[in-house]
Amino acid sequence: MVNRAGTGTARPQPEAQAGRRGQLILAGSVAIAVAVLGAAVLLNAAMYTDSMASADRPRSVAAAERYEQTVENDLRRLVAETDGAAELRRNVTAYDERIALAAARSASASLEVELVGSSPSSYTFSFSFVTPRLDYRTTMTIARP
Amino acid sequence: MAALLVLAALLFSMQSLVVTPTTDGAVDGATRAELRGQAGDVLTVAADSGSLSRTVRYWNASTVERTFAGAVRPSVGYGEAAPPTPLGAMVEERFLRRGYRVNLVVAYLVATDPPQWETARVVYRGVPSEDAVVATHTVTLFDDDGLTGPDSANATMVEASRSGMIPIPDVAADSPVYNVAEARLVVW
Repeated sequence: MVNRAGTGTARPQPEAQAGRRGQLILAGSVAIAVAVLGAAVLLNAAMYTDSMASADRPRSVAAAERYEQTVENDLRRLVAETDGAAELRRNVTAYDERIALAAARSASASLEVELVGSSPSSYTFSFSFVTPRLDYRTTMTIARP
Repeated sequence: MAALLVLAALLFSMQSLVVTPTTDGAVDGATRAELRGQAGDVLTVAADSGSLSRTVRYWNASTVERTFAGAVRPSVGYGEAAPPTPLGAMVEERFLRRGYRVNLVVAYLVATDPPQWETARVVYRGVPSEDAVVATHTVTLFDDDGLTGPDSANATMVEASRSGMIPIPDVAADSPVYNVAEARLVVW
């Protein structure tokens, strides 16, 4: 170990001075060791909590994205199979009631789809997917066939 | 000083210690997360390609089978095999061939008030163990979707339901929507 380093030098020195230097080296090395170990422990803990915190969050986000994709595909199909905005509104309401039950069952989420606008070339829908941890809202525009 | 040194060494060694939840072969957290991701991916890919819907509609135009086309019986579905669809092939390759067990169950709405869910078992290998992972995907069935079994006789969902070939009912009779089903894949 380093604590003997002060005694084995080529040039003899007064006893007190060598002792003081040895002590200094000893204390310094212990301080450095503690600092390095402490830093390792702290960094390790920081990275661990970071990965734990981010591991769970995207699950509700992923569910929202999955439902958004499903709903968009279904709406596209509903638009293709429906004539006129009034009938589409009825069909979307009927669809919304059923898909909301599915979202409540599989993702404990409250899902809402609604026809909010129509233009000569497209329909606009609002989509919301709300869980206790996530409030996801977007609009979808689907071209008329 | 010595106490500090011992404490630091102890903390450091505890950091590098791998803590496994169990020692009897149960799956640890990272593996479960990966498995859950894979199960979700399988369902998502199948849903995007339409194979999930086709698997849900994989019935024959028969009133006596009471289960999916070519399946063993309603209580186990295809049992130890996977359904003969692209989704089934993915389940087979990702899970069954690697020694995992799988339940694939379809839940569909029945038109009671309030609406309730009933299930049809595509693959059922029994009660999952505690470390099972679950993935779900919603699939909407439409009135003019047809059965996809090899002896489906091109029957649509409405026709099939009317003549008692499938247990899944039309829950939105005055709209193009037929039913909203949830596919649930359990892997352990």
